Amino acid sequence: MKELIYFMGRSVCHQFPERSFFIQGTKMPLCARCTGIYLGMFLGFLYLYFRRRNKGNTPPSFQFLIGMILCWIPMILDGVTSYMGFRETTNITRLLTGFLFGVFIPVFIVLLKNFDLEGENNIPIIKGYKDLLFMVLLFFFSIIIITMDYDIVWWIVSGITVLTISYVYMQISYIIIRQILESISKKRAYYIALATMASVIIILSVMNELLLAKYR
Amino acid sequence: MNYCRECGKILEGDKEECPFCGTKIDIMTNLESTVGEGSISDEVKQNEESPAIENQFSCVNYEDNNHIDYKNTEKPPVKPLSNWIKVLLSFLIPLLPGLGSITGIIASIIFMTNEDQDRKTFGYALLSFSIIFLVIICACCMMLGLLTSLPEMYS
Repeated sequence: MKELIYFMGRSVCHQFPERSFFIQGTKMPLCARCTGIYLGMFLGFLYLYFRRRNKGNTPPSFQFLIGMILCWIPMILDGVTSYMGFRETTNITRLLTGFLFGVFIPVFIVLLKNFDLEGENNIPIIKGYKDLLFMVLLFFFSIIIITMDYDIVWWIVSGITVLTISYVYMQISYIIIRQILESISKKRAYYIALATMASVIIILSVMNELLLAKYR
Repeated sequence: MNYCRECGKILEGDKEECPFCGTKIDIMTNLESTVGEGSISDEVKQNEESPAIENQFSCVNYEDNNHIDYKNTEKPPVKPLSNWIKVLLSFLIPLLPGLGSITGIIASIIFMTNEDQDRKTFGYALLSFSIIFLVIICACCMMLGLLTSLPEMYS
């Protein structure tokens, strides 16, 4: 089971021990930044689902869009400066910036899924600044989970992150398939998306293993 | 331009009374008088040949009909998006990883809020491209970062 989780985690992440969290002495399947991104995506999806915004199809207004994009800039700055060697970042910074990046991705995925090209789009996804604020505040929830040192937490967090990876890949391939094959039914599109997601993750993971085998 | 029927001075705005002589102004009569003095009737008097007049009138009718149709559907003609803008935005996304996606997302949301069908479709395509590229970058950036930073760490 752990091997499967590590295998799936390898598809998107380098799993570098220096940049990963350890719970009960066991390494997380993703590095700190990736944990932040995918935990953020999961909590974003959860928030939209509980506020019943997952059927929304109106593009966010310009001010909210700018707010969301401003939240992405810390991760880009953090990533670029640390890879260029200007400064060293801590795991908590990586988690925070990754979380800020990931938490708003679901808004766009929901929008792409429900947007109707011909008809009217009136159901909002983001209603006000409150939504953005709540989504950002969910970070404290995630940091409380990460700092708890129980064996079960490892399973919960790594399960959530790995499932979110596959869910996001599946939704994206679903969006592409629905665009290419317009006449296909929803159920079949989901099956094809599932197969695409599985193959993409396997290919990426094997590629990662081959590329980085000499460093391990 | 309206004129007072009593004193003949120019009236500005939609006043109910003439500010100079105090006569009440009937909008309908003013409109009729301006139409009566219009250029069409003058032209009709000058060209007394019947085919020309018929042509002129048919032209006027045709234009009037067009005007009515245009008002009923209430769709102002929108220029379709220039192909150069489309090509530029699509090339920007892979050329500038990260920043290109962000500009792509901003542009596509602006296009998607537009009523124009062409812009909507292009905005949708651009948004899906940007989001997919962003997620792929997330996956590849980690590998790239590892490949560049690992040799330094172990040397």
